[in-house]
Amino acid sequence: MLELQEASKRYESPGEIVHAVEDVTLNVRAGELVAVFGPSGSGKSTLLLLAAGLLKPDAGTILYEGRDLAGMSKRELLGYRRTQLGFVFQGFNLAAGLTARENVSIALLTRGVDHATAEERAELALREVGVAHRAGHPPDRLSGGEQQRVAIARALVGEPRLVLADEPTGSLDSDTGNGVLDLLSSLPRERGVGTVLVTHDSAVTRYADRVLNMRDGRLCGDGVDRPAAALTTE
Amino acid sequence: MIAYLRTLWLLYRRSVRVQPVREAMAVAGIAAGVALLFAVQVAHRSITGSLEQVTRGVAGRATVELAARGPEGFQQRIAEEAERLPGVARAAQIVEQPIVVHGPHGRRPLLLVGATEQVTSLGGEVSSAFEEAANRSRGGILLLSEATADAVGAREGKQVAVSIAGQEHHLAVAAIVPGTRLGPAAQAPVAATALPVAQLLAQRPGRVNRVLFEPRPGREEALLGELRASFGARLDARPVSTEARLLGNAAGAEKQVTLLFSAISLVAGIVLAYNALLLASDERRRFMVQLIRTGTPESMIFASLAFDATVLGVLGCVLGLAAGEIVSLLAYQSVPGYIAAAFPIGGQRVVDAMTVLSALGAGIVAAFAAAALPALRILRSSAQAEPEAVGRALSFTHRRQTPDMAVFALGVVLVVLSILTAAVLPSGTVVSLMALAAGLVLCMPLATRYLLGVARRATRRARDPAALLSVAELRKRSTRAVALLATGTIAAFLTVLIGGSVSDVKHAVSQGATDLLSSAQIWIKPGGAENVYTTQPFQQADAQQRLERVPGVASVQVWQDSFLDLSKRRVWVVGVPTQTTQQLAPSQLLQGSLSRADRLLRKGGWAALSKPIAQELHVRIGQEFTLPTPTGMARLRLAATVANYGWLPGSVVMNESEHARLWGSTAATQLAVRLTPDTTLVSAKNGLERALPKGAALSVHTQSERRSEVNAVLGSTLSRLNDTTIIVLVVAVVSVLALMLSAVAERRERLNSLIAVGWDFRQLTRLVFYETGVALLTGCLMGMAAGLVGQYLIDSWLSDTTGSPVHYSPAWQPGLRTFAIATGISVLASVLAAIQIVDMQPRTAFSAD
Repeated sequence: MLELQEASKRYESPGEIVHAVEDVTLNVRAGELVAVFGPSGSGKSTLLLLAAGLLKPDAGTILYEGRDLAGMSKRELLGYRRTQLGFVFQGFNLAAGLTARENVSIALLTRGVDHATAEERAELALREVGVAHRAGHPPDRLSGGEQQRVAIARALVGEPRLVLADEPTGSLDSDTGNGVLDLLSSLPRERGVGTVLVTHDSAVTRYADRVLNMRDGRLCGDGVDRPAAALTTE
Repeated sequence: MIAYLRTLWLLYRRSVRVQPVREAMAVAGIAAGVALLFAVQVAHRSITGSLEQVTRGVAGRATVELAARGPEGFQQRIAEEAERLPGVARAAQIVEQPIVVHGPHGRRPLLLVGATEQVTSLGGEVSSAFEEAANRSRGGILLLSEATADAVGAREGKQVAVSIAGQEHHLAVAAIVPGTRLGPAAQAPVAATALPVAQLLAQRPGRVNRVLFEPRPGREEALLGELRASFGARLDARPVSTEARLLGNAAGAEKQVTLLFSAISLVAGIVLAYNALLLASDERRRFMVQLIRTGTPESMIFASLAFDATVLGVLGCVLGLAAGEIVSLLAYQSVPGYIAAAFPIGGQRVVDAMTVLSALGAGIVAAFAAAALPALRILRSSAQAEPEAVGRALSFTHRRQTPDMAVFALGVVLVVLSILTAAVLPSGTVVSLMALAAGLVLCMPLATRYLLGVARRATRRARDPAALLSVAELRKRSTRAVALLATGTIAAFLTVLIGGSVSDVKHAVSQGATDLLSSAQIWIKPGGAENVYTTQPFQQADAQQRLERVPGVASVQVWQDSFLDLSKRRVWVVGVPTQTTQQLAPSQLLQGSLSRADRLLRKGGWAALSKPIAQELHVRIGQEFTLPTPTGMARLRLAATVANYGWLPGSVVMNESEHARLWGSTAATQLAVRLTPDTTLVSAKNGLERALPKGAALSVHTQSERRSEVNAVLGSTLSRLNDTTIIVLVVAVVSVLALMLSAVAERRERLNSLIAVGWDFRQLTRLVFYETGVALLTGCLMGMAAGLVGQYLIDSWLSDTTGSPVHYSPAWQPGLRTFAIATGISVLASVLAAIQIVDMQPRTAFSAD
């Protein structure tokens, strides 16, 4: 579904070149949860930006369903992000003045879905992530875990083919984080949605189909995927 | 102490570095208010200051004068008689005559002064400088200042054309007095010649206008008494400083009006600065929490906030004084036309310590006023965030906050009271307007919350996610909404209030001029716009006969107008020919019956007075009063009270024959020409110009040309006032742009996440527009409404202050113009902000990596 072939990205600043992502090859399949594990500054977020088409690689290719993202127009990229991707952010990025339901339904309104349908589907999505009883509450009345669940509902409500999750447990305690990871590993999988999850939370190894270790912009070893079990035994 | 100040400076530098836009906006707000206040103060101080300098420069040690009540002056033998009084140490006789000098580079209206040689013994610098120049000249008649010579292109020994008393002369320039010798009076519009020459040119041989006296030590009061006893019936015996006092009165109304508008502008500046400070209060609060946590002494926290306000005030003042200097040079350099018509004032600027200090003081107070509430808010929320670490000094912040509803109620009470007070007591309008502005500000937070609540309900089912999201964001960050709302409100309030009331006053003045000039199709008078009140007499007998013979001319009527000094004011006396259809301009009538007053004025022995003059003389309609005239104290009866006919200190209207009798002169000051029905204006004007006697320095104007001249002169002061409020509007516009762009910068991460999830440029533009533009435009609507109320209140005050019959005409036009500008700015800023967003590196959408 999503294929990165020898993708590289570097940032230039005066007197310094940072190789954020270097020569990365990665294949994400439908229904699969791929965790990218690594310390801060290892290039995980840049990897997500490349996958979302928000950055263009300096070298290599990024293919979605066989189409090169670099060859897409701005409009097509916008459509790609809107309809094919779902995002989960570390800071949740929920709109403070909206209720949980509205935060979810707004993702559908952006795509032109009518108000009633959007509300109905938002309600359903919230039920699936277990916070339907909090649908009428604004984010500041929800716990961190509940907020991230709403964010997951928002990412999934548009029925994307791929979810990009950026440190989804970064702002949560371990118990709550486990609940969120549980959700992120089960729901997309049931729907055949691929997930790329970047984190430095080692708990992710229990949930991911594959875990990739990233250091200094490179996937560990020669950049080839390793199964989760292999990583946990390292 | 130095270490303490250094710490405060470091804390200040840190806050500037973190929030440079906030600081710049706050400084700009204070600076705008200070600039206007300073410019207006300089302009007014320059008016009275320059006359004082000229008077001192001519009169020297003379402190008492005997002045004629009319332009014809009085016999020199009376002056000589007065000079022999025992209290006189030294005296000098003076002839004054308005002239216009025409040179190769232009024309300049001046006051020609002829004095006896004794004038130099009084020790006046100007007199001495002219005397020195006269002594070194090798011929010629006219002594000009360097400024005048430069303006008209005159050179020593060369001739210039001079219009004097309706006649044109060619006079050789005897000498040019260097500006350095004249000191502060270098720009004074004065020319000099020998006394006999001046008498001859003015066609008043053997007559003078005033005598200056240097009293013997300790005899000033006695001398004044003697002069009054001997000559007081027909002449004014008074201190030399009277002229400056009369000028102060003439400029007083304009000063009050401009000061009020400047004060409103200063309040607007405070609100803009307050907005800026409020906007960054969250960041400041976080920093204060840090300071409290790290055990910073609370005195240091207070001192830091006070230091911020002081630096803000000082920077605002410095920038404001610099901007005010530019504004006063550009917009207030020329003397208001109506004042220059009655007093010899030049364009010299007088900037004294008091003017600078008052502007500085206002700026510092404004900065503290703007900073006080945000500082209190920061302290309170910081203390609440760290209750354990709070000591005694900060404990006051634990007191319960005043609920928004109570603040709103107080605001409403202030608004209602201000309207009622101004309606019942027009003299209290200034205070009422301040209360109205304060009431509006107090209403703002709850009004914003309510409006956002309405918007929330309206957008709940909106299809546009940008609308839904923007209202939600605004409700959570209402400070920004309040700031934008307040900025829009202030901008519209100011534009509508000042634009509307200035337009109403101009309309009132214009209406008076229209009424007065409607009695004839063509007007003939000496001088240009400077003779707007037509008070320069000329011998018209020959001209009148010639003009009456021009084909198409039905009649040529003689008007006699003059200035007359009463105890407190210089009034304009209008002598209306009895042949004129209406003796009183209908728009100017305040009390009395128009037809009855008309009949009585024609009969003679009756006059109409402006309201303040009637009040000062304690006279009511039908009652008798006395008027000091050149021929003695005249007993007249009051036919009606009228407005001021465009001369702010007030007017006296009588028929022309009465004026001729009381002034002892038949000389006209203007001629009104009525045409036969079949005559065209152009042909009549050309015919009249050709018919003027050779050498006549008279100009022929159609009614509309005269009206434009009057409106231009009388309206110029008010127009420039209106123009200078643009400073506040520019600051408001810059503030709005900065507010909108900084709002985007503050929420970079949040907006990036929207880009990441697929929001496009149009959606982002709409989001910013809804968030900021809607608040701004709502503010504009609120400001317009308040401005219209304010305009209504201020109109009645202006009517009282200026004596003009100001009628309320809602200022929709400036209001709508402001609304259109605000819409344009909102759209522009939204597009700019959206460009800024999409150009951002979207990296911040994701966690730092």
